[in-house]
Amino acid sequence: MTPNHSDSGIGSSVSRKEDRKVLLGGSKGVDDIPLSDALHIQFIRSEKAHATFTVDATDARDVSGVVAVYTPDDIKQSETTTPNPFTLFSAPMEGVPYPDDSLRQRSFAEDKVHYHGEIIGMVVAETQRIARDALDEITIEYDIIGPVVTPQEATADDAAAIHESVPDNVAFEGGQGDRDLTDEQFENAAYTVELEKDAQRVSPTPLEPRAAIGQYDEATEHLDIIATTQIPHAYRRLLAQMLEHPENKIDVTVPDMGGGFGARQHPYPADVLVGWCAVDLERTVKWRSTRTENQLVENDGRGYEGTWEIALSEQGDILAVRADIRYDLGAWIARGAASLAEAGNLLMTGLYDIPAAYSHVTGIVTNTARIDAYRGVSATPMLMMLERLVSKVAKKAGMDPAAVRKRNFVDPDQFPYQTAGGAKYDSGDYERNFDIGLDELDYSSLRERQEQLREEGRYIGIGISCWTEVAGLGPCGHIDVATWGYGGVQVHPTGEVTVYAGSSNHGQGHETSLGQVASHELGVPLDSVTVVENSTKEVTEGVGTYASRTAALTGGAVAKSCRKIVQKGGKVAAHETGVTPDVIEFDDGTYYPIDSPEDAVTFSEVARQVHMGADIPEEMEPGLEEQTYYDPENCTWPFGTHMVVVEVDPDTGEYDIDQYVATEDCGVQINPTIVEGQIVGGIAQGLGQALYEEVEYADDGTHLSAPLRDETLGSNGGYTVPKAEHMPDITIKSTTTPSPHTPHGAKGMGESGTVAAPGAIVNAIEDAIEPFDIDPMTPPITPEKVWMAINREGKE
Amino acid sequence: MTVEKEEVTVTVNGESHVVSVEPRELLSQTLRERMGCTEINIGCESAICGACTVQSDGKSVKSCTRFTVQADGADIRTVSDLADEGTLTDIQQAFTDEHALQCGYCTPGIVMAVDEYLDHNTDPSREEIRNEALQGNLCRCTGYENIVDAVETAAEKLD
Repeated sequence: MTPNHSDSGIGSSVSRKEDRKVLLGGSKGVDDIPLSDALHIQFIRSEKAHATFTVDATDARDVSGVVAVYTPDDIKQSETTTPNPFTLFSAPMEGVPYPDDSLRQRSFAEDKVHYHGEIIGMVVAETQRIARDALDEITIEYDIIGPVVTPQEATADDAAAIHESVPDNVAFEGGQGDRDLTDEQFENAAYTVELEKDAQRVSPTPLEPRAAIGQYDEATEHLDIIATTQIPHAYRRLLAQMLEHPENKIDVTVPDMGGGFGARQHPYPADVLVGWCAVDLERTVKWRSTRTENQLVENDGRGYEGTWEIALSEQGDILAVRADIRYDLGAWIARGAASLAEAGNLLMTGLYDIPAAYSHVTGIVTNTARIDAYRGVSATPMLMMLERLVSKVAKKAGMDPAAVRKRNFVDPDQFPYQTAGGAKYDSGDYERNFDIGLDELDYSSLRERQEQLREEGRYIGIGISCWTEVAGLGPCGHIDVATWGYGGVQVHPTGEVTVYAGSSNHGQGHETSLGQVASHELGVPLDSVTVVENSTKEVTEGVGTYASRTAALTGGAVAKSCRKIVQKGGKVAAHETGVTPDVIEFDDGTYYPIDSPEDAVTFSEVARQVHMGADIPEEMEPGLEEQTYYDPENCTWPFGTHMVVVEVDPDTGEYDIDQYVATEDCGVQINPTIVEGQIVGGIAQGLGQALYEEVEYADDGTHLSAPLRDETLGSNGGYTVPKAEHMPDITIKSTTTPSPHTPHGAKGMGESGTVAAPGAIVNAIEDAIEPFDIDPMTPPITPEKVWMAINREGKE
Repeated sequence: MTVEKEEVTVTVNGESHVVSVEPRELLSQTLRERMGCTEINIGCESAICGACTVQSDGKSVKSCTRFTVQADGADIRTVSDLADEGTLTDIQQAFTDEHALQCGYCTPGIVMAVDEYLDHNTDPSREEIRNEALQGNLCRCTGYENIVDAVETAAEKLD
């Protein structure tokens, strides 16, 4: 029996089912849930980056309406078990041991703070305003220790140790790839280029600030958590471990959530303490962060600095790439942070057939908030640097950057392709996809036009950046947590379908796309499918949404459950029509014997029959419901190229993006409109990294980028998120190279924009002002930096 | 801490309310906490993101920038008041047709800002939509392009 099609199945650009509720004003986030008797938590947070401290909460305890104040001593002396340290997702890379246990994050500082914003206690009050007012009554005495804010400072000879057990502030180091072969290739190269990069920490900045509610029922010892997380089941598991509370007595639900982008995965210290406090007070407690609190402590992304190099032969073959990276982890190693080192190394050769590669990563702790996953993770710095190097080395060799890329792409017949960094790419047809982009730009004419315009004193630049990402993260055993996709499917006796998905929808449109998978497989209309997600109460298991894994893995699990259902239904139809199951066909929601299509039985008739348990084969159990834990063979490796045309005004340094073409291939698309939405949304974040975004710390470790700002106001401090006026119109072109190993050929694709846009935009600006003999630019590239590059001292 | 409260009368989505509030209470807080208008979202509390945008006497305002006492006598509308018995307005319909929302946190504010903008400029260019209609709002998910498309589509329908 083959999978089935319906108008709303895989490949259909149906409108999203989730939109109507939002547009009618019916969304409900954590902070929107009515609670009659909740107490409100405000965290006491450190104002210093590195200091020992004492807290005096006497006056705060006396504020009317304050129910409890917890200093570190109060938490430790409580009968409720002090939360255990966080655990890590995996070791940094193969062959490199787990970092020292003392680097695992704690839920609160006991006597020494390690970054601005670290929790040193909490106030619990009848209202949020009382709790906030009471915070003003807390006195904290600090004894400052010289803070180390950057990886260079942290590894200087006289640097203070952030954690005594790790005196050099180096959490781990290790390399991936063949170092000797790489060095050898560099020695034999005709052209090499070396490029430095600073850490450029960027903030994911979901628009909804973090929040959590804890509800504890003393009689049943049940802890109910409502929180902003992308991984409700894994979040529950971690809370259970940290609070030493049975996992089957904790539930986690995620209401409508305003974005995640990787930063909303495992619990943060505040989340753990919300749960702890609910247990300790045996009450309902609620915490809702402010924007500044959210920015202060929610993980930043990237933090990769160091040196990247490329080697090219006389003929234009890329011989090797090499990187020496200092990875700023923040004060503690966040749960996913170490494993991102390996993730970046896997794809350090991008889309090219490069025989040798070596990347050495040194993980360094600093007196800053932590670094962890942010859309694009370590693929963004690795591929931004690779793509900048490819363009630069091509120019050095007097070759065209597009031509060098085409010459070096992995060929379609080389898949599955083992990269020098250790990945196995599943499928690809890179040049075909790339050529579509070149055609769209009319690339060779554009290069001629660039030359002509330069003669007129106008400077346009063309930037190219090819991309892939570690999508559909699996298979199991690769890292130290489960990475299957979970999908349960229940067919109601009426023929309607409920999908129970182990992923988390917070903008990706799963209610629609996973519904489309079931609609496609079962031949039922999309309107008959309901998707349930984001709840440990309703969905048996799940790994959550991250690493662009839902389309391939949850979608794959849903497809597999549907196929089991179709097969069981086929046996019922065979029984009903008096034939053997092997001659039953299933098409568009109808079963029929091949030789007598007139004896058709509809899917809903079969559903009713199996539910009733009458007239079904003797050995068959009633009920039409299946579960799948889908463990894939491999990750999926989508690909594409972003091409950007900018014009720079050398008198002011200002630039305009004239054209932006994004080609992509994520295998079979479930909903092309949603795919395009993900691409453009990712580009906005990538453009933010290229041009506007950077988390800054003062020399004393004070976080300077907490409030959002409008960059046109030119305020000092704050964080700039791109606005509508900053974004160009984007042209998207797709090809379809199915993944050979996922159930319907889909690959993940959620992170392509943030991976590809920074390199493409930076390359375009540098290409535009190349005639001015500039030094390499450092993103975020402001017009001021462009002007400085053109007019730097010592130049004519 | 005792603070004198002030009595304020506001009409919200056609219903009149009298509330007694501290002078420091923000309109966004009053609407969310006292009137259950949780469609208003609080993204930044500093007048940058626009997720709390409502219309006050027909003009779009960020409700986190107004004290409730300043809204005495005002007629406030939120996104919940736009649809007519469940039938989406042209702007709302265009947002779903053009896939102009993802997580939806910014959407109620953007829709209210656009609803007012199109009263004044019924035929905006894409540049005007980006620079003017969406000037006061942030979206972290969509990259804005589909929002621009939706505003264009809605404007065409209004003609």
